Amino acid sequence: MAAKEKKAQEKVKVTFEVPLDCMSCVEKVNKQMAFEKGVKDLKCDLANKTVTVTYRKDQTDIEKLREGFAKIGYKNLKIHETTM
Amino acid sequence: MNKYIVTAIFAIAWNIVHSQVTGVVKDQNKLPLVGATVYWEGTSQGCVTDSKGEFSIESTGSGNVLIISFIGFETQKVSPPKNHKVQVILQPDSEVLADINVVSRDKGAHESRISIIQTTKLTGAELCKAACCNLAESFTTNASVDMSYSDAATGAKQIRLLGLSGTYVQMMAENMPAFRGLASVYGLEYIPGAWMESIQVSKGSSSVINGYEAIAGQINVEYKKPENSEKFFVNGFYNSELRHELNINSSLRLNEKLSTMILAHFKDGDKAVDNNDDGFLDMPMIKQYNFINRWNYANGKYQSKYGVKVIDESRRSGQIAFYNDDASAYGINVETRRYEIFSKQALVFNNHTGHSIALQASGSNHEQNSFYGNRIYEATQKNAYLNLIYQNIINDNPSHEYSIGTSFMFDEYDERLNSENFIRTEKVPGIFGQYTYNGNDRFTFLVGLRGDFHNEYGFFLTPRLHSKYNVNDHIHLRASVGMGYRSANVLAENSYLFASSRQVEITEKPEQEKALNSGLNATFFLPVFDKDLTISTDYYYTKFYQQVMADVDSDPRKVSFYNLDGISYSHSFQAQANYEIVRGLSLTAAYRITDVKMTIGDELREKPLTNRFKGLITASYQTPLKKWQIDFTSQFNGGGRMPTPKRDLWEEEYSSYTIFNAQITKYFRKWNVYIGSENLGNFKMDTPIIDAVNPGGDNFDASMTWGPVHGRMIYGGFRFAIDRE
Repeated sequence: MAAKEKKAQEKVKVTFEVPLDCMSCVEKVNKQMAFEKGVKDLKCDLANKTVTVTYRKDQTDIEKLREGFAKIGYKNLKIHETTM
Repeated sequence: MNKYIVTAIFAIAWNIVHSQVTGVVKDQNKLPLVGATVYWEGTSQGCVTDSKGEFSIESTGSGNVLIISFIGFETQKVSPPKNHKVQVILQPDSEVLADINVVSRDKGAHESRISIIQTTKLTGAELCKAACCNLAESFTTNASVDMSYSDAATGAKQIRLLGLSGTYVQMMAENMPAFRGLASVYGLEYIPGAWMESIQVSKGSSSVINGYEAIAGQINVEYKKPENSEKFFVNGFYNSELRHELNINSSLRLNEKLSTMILAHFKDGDKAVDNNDDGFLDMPMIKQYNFINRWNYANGKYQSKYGVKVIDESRRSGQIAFYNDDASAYGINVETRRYEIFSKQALVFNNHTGHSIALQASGSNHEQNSFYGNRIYEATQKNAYLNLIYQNIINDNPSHEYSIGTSFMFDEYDERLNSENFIRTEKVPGIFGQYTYNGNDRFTFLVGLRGDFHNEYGFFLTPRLHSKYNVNDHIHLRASVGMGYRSANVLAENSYLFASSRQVEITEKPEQEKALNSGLNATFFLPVFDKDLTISTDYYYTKFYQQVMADVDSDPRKVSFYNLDGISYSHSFQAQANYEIVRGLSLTAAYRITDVKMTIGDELREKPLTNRFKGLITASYQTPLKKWQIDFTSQFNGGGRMPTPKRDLWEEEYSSYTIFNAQITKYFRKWNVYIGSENLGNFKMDTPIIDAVNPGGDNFDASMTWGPVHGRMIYGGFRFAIDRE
């Protein structure tokens, strides 16, 4: 049971390539993605134009996160890196 | 180690294969812009500038135009020559009227790195750290500005800067003088928190472009603007004293050129609270309706703004019995109605050089009808203001910038205190010129001079000088010196003294107040564990050549107004440190010492009811996803001197005290809710009103106030916003 619970809470880190142009885009992403289900941490990198999302595997997945980005106009985002 | 060698080799190899375009991005004062975005047109290939404003970007075959953008500045396109370092100077956004748009909200209050004048900017994020129901309450997390309690009855809130009273601080709304004269006593409560986009607090004499009145400093408020504010915003607030407030903002972009916004505020505190059982209300019952409608129009080179503002406020205080139909009890009633119009027009000939001409215009009518027991005070003020500014650079060289212009200020006061009438008209035409040198990255200076002709006080000159020197990236130094003048509005500014049995005595015609302010500021940005520890120290000295004294010392039965005969000065030294200890947790600690003395009667004495020191510690924590925010502030207020006691009714000194405030905010996608407490430690003055049981007697005095009258206050509220796409 305990092992199952632990597995359920497993976190995954995924880095999307997001065409961030300015601080207000970062603000927009922070506001939108923070409230997507399962999102545990967020790091926007304006210099490298990436957003790293840490999420709970049992609550969301990359497709759902992509849908979240799409709501604020960032569609079909490429994945830069995934860390389990 | 091997890793570094490999990286270095790789980097060198990369540079050989790919040619790089390097450059530096600076602002109009030639100071580096950190974090500006640089990218090739038509691609997503780009970078941001580093801490020196420098960037390096790989050349690309497809595009040869670089786009450089930064918040608050005009976006620029450049075609960089190959193998050359480019220098890009960004000009402030099309707003030639010097509006600053603060979009970044991750840090609430920041010391401006680039401004020549020492300026702290409080953004929307900072204003959300406390209830901040209005401008007067917005400085609880700020070390420089003090909120003082002018009396225990009317609830008038006064700010202080450098230990000097708020009347020596030039108040501005969107860079136009605001809340002068009659409005100076309650004016800070006329700007609701939900209306403000940001507040800029600058110390010392400021630019001559805005007039000659700034002596201790300047506070400018930027209202929310139709083009970048939420489409719809509502804020509700409720506190344990049953005061409730409602703010509704709505902005509408009618088309590309025209936008409009409505800001509406309603406040009602209708409960008579007397927790200290002295028979007097601890806080006045205030009902306020406050409304702005503003319009912005921008068509190519022409930009304009228009607005109207209406305030209606009723403030009732005094003895509880007065509100229980006891006509013989002591009552206070202040009814205020104020109308304002404002407009700004600008023609921008060249965005890059700032070549432009702008006209600011405003007008107001302020009416106050009030009584304080048997004392009746009725006053009206009509004001008109015009300011024409022409700005350009010399010989196409952006290092030499100048502004010239002309202004006209008109005030008509009509006051009546019991049966005495005081009528005064002021007409002040003036001209000004200001020159800014920003010859190299490190040294900038600004010199300004204005000449004004006052119909009562004649011609006078206002010279001002500000300079800034960046020793390196980590040490910035500033120095300033300048004159300031103002006309004292003896009755209006001291109307809170009417809540006492003191006789009001005006022994001579008030002269124009005149002071010299000089200051030094050193700011250090020290990298500590990858983060900047910011330490800011400043010292300001203000010397009055002429001042209108409100003497409550020489005779405890009177308040006498006369012209300074002797000396009057203020020394203020402040040190402040900010640091983000761990991700999300930032700390601010500040300490200030003030020494304010003046010749009262024949003796040089400390200014009464003025704190000798102030300490401030704020801690602010935000969870990684900014869903929760916790703020804690503690203020240590130094003791000071009381006015000469009357028959031992009060002490000669008051001791220091500490105030704690805390707030928790929970953010949702469109909502946020907050709950907090002001004066958590429940500290209050034992006897805020002298001889409260006998307001008709000789000893009654509600103006001997140095600390909080009411204790702990719990509040809660919500904010709901529909953002712009």
